[in-house]
Amino acid sequence: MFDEFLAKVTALRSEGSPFAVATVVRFQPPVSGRPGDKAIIQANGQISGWIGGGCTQPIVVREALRAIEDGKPKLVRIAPGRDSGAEYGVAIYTMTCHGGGGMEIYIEPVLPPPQLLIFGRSLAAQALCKLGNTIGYSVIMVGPGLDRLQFRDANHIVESWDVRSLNLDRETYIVVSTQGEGDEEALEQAVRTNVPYVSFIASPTKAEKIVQFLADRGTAPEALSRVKAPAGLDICALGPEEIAISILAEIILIRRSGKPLHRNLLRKEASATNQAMDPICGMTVDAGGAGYFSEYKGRTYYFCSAGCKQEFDKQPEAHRIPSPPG
Amino acid sequence: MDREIFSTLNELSSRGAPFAIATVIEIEGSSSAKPGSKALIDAAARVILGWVGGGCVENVVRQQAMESIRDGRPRIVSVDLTDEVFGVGMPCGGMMKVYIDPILPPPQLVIAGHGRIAETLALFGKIAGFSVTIADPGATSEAFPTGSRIVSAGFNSGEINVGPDTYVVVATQHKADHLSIKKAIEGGAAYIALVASRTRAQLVFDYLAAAGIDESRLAQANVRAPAGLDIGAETPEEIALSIMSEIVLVRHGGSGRTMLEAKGIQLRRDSETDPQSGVHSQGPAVV
Repeated sequence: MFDEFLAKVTALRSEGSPFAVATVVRFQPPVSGRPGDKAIIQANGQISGWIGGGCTQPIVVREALRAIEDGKPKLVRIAPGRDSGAEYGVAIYTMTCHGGGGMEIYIEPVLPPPQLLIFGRSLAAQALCKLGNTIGYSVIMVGPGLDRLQFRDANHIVESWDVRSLNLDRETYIVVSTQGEGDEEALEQAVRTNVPYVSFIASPTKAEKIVQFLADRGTAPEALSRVKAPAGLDICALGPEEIAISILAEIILIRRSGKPLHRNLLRKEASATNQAMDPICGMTVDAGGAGYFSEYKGRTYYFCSAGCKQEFDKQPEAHRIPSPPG
Repeated sequence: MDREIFSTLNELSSRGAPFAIATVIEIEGSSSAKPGSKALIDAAARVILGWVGGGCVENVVRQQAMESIRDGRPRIVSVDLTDEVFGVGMPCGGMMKVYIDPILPPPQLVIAGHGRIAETLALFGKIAGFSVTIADPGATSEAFPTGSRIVSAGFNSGEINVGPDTYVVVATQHKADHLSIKKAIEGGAAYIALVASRTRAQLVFDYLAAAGIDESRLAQANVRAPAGLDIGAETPEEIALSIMSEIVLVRHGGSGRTMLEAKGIQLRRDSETDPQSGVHSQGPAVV
């Protein structure tokens, strides 16, 4: 049983198809699924394996498809009758079969790693190949005459500029790092793709010249306007390794859609005078002007609102900020 | 390059001492030095070895070498030798250009802790040219890239020295992290990051305040918690990369925004773009 399951998982992984694994982790008889029962759900909704009968399957498939979509594992509870209440991270369903049983199923998406396509063999390309491999991306090096020994970390090497044979999905990131060796040809191919990120390592002056050249040669302006040049985050990167770091940081930023700002919140709280942390909601409040505060064990606590103060006063011990360690 | 200079270069470099190489690259008129003449100069502006000319030339070159060791930038020094005719020096006439190249020991990246973030960060640190030390009793040589120094006695042992060229990342998951941060602040580290939950970080800051680290000191130390640039990092590897990006930013500057946003450049606009904004390349400054 497990061998079959493992063989299927291995096959799907090696072909790069996304899927989710559903495992029954708890049951309350009478239900047909048992803890340890497993199923594999593919992106097309096809299910193989066993996790219980007709009432369970559609729910598991629906949640598995969601997990493949958002990339997050989850616990699904199918309970007899009305459930007691919501829990963080648990999807709750009512069992529609009338046996009176229930079960919990853990669903984990297994997604192919994002692809990093690097055009060129410059020093920055070499550094990117190594870094991309380290953070777990599938690295594809692109360019005629690439030295396979030099790019041992790459998962795949395409020995031309033509990448049409590759499966380039929305989890593909392209960096054109030719630096003088085939800039026009590489960028022309790169912008023909439909991927969310295409950057070009070049000075603004050079990038502009090459973009103009491609526009004159008939590449659509919309395609060219997607090119990020200069590439990477503004961390004053010097040298190919730091440039590679700044570009990978930009790719993660775009992939995770974060905000490229310092998150240095705590330092401000600790160093600014008269600032205190509301122990309930964690908000920074001005201790001097705070309208809401309480004394507990010789210490003053400040709050952002009457609600937080009330919450604290109900059970001060549970919310007090502990004394410094050591 | 003669043998004596070469062996001194090796000796200085293996000792980890900062120095500068001054090379005469151009001469007009007559001078006691010729193109290719070299001198090695230390951080205190002393000539360790070699010759690039005497008198006023030497003073200027020594001074500029010391400056270059301090700011880390190579430079070209032009000395107008005709000035010497009217000055106190030797009346040689002509002009001399000397290229000064500072050779600095690599900065130190000290990681307190083990685990995937520490391992990946050590690798990134090596790629970015740091001398990497892992200070953790649980660190094994299998888990860390070759060339990293492992100090099993931990960050708070006497084996770890923190100075202004030390970049410290504390990722111990609580074990004595408050003591490590204190040591890093007291050593005047260039960068201090604490990988910890918000709650834990607040506890550490409370401890630092209680331990008598005053606010201006704390503000100056600028402990990064959460650590790293906000690029939405989720996996340990991504977190390590966000920390490495922040270290590069602290070393060199920058806004941390994307280059496109920061520089406000739009492609295909007729060229009024500032040629200076290509931060990726940097030539030597001419003094």
